[in-house]
Amino acid sequence: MRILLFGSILLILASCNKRKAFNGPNSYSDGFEAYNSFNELIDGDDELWSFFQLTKDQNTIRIDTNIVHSGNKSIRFFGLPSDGEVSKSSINKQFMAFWEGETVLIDFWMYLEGNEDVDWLFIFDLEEKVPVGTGPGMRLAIVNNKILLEHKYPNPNVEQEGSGISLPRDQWVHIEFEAKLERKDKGYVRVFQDGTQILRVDNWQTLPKDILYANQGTKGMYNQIEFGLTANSDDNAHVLYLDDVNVMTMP
Amino acid sequence: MAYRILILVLLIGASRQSLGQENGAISLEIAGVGGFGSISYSKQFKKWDKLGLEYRAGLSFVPIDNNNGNAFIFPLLVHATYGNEKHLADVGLGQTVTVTTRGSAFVRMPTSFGYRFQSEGHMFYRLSYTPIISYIYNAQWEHWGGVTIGYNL
Repeated sequence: MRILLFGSILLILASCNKRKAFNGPNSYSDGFEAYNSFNELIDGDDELWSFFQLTKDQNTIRIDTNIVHSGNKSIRFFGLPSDGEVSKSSINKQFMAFWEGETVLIDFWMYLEGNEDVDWLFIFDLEEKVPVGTGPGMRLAIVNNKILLEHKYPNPNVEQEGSGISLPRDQWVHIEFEAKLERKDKGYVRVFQDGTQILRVDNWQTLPKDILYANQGTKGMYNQIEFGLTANSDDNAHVLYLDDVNVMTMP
Repeated sequence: MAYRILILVLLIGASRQSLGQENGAISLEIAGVGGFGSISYSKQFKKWDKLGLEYRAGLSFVPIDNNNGNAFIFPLLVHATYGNEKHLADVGLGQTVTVTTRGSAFVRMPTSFGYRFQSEGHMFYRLSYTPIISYIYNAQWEHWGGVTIGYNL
């Protein structure tokens, strides 16, 4: 009994230290109205966005004033298709803290240009940066013109039931992502598209765990968000606009 | 790949034999404490009747991705064996240091609970339950197992 008590105290102390060591904001909003050039998105202190990912010379990110959801500005991402290297055109905010047991609510407006078919275009990632590993997490992808949930850890994809609802093109679409974060099969994910629930999964593992030596140092949290063309695995180049990003957390 | 590992094991064995080191052993473990597999050198350093202690130093490898590079894994364990000359219980505990080619590193705690069969020749075989424990940020117990083929030098 004493050993159990001592062990519990140690675990509680360790847990407190972990939360202190990896403390960070669990909310963020950006309508992109305050920026005049895309370089201003990165402030160097992680108060705003933390870094871009432009993995090809022709990939671009810019502030746009023509296609906006609200106000006068949005962000425009252009990304070529992947070849040997994954093509990315995205913005990333790191050193956040979304802990196990919390519910993360993320919503944003997106506008995907063109009407060609889209297959495996990733638009949003919720990830944990770990000492050894590939940034495990959950992400939304457009596959066969419809949004699905994919995991960067061993968990099956969550697809829309039946024929599903295609992502509207050349117009603003409101995406809402809600996830209860759990390392055991006790979490859930909901995704809404223009107010209609398109993905739902319950009793689900929504946080990664350490996997042998390929993925080490998971802490029962997510600490970074990524928007844009987070990976263009489609055969075509794409242009995506992003506006009015809101991130919040409920205990 | 497996063919190259086998050659490496045999070469290490040959070099140890030429040095005349007795009681040491080389082994190839499929899965187990090194993840997907590892090669190890082990040597007994203490012996009391049926109980023996040996250290084990291994090497393993896993490719991660372009951003994170490749990971080299170094399992270091102490094994306790108990039994007669043929059939032994084999329990190990240690640390695994992982270093990636991009300069990051981490440690986990491999364990091994197994049965070891010592043949009349140089060969030995071990079947183990090898959970790998994370403890730096939080406690995680990952179920895993391994099969070892070893050669006593």
